[in-house]
Amino acid sequence: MLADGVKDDVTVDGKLYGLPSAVEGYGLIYNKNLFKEANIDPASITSIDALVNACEKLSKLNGVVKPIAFAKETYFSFIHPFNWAFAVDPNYKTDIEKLDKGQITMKDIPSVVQWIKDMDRIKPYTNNALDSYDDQVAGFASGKYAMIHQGDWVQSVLDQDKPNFDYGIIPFPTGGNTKLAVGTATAWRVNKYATEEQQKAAIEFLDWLITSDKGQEYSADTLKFIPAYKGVKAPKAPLAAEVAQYVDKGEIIPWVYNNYFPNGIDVDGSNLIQKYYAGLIKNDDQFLSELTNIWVQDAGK
Amino acid sequence: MKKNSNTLTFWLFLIPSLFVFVNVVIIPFILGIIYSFTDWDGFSFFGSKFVAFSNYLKVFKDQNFLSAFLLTFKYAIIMVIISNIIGFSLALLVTRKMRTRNILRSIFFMPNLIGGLILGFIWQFIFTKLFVQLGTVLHASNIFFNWINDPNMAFWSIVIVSAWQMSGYVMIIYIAGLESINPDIIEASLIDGAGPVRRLFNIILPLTVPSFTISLFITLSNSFKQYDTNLSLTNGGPYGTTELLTMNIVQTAYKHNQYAIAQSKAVVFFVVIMIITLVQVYLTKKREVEM
Repeated sequence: MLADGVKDDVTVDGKLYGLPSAVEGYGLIYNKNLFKEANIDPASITSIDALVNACEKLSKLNGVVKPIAFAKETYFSFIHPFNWAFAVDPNYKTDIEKLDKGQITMKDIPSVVQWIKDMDRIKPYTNNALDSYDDQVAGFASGKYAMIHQGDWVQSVLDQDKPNFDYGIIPFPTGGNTKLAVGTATAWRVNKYATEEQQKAAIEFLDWLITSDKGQEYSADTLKFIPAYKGVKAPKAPLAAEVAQYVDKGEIIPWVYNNYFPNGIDVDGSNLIQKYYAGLIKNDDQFLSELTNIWVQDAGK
Repeated sequence: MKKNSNTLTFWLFLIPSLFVFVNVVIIPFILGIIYSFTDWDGFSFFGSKFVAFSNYLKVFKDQNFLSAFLLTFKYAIIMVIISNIIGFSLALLVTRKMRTRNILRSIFFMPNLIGGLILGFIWQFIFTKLFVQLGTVLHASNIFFNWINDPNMAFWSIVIVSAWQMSGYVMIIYIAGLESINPDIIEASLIDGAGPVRRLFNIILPLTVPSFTISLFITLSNSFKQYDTNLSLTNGGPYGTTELLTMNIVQTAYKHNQYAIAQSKAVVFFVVIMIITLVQVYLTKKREVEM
């Protein structure tokens, strides 16, 4: 059974075109020890108020430089954080369609307006997205940052750094959101130009990998794939296990940018948000109108 | 008979490089010009339409392209001045009678042996880590801070790294020029009582103009084409303020997926570099002294 949220990535007009090989999820990866020390229950962070309160407490701890860190690369500074704004919007498909045509602006989409308001609240507690990805994860491992906005892919880096604390992942609570952003980047496909025999063998292999016990074990333990399906064995690594739990419970929202963001918005949007962090954007209105401009420009080309 | 076999050898030796040159320069160049007049999407050329000059019109309306152009001009001018002054001074230094001159030549030339991409990453570490440390240790955080995160200093950091790399290269050209000066002329000037300054401006500089022609050409065209250090050091950041022309073209093609427009930008870029370098070569050639 394919998990909700990843269906969009592999279907066109309701027809399935591939089997997602694995899913990845991102959100706020947090330092469990620091949370305990500051007496914060991670499950209680279901609103921006709660997150801001947590940041306030965390910033008073010894050794914590900033409670939240973003990385400066285009996807980490803009695409992933901004994805929340559309992912929590149940009408994101029609909203983006209208946006592309210039019928509405970002200011007309409540979840986007809410998102930038939420960003304003947490901005003082962030590193202003000035670190590179490596520095951001290293800063988390050394306890400099209590939370980083990243996905389960940092596991391999953390495995090398071997931090002396436990960590987990929580959703970014914009507008009271409690779901993790989960999506897939690659999918298995069968080549229709291969011989029939080869095609049959390929389908058999995929059946084995996804449905058989042995295949699932291999997929989870050797390939470390987080299953894109409900009720399939998940890998043991801490972040992957937590992401798999969210997938299993259906507590996930999509990576809207996979299919609905215009080309080039990663560069233009990242430039805009870096300006925002540098204090060169006066207010939310200016941010949203500049964002609308680059969005329409990139969509129109 | 002998002459014929010579021509044959000549062409036989030329074929491999000619083959490569035609395939990787001439053919793509012609194709590129054709693409720039169509709405090619980067995949199949079959099916794209002829759009005359509409791509070029879009190029000149693109604000980011124009600002990248201005920045590249600024960068090229600064680079030509700095790297040639440093390169020539180093050449003067290492052509004096010193014991360490061979070692010094290798040291100054060394940055050129490392690719610009690697240099960018090495210096990124210096600008982002070492500078911050220096700032705290020396209590001079107004000079030593993270240069890469400041729009103005990020630009200068590219200049510093590339000048460091380029100077060693033009130094070699200037050394060749300085060493080809007939020692008799220098001696004659000594006997006539010319001081070091006068000797530099009236004898050495006029006689090394051919080296200047080459060095200015190389630094000018290389600075316009700067990409690798720009990519690895600042990647156009912070917020797109250090995006040079080639990076803008690459972003247009591979990030915005507008291959035809990127191609038009590249053609405009080519024409501008060609005009500027031709003018430069013409002007400096005129000043060369034939002995």
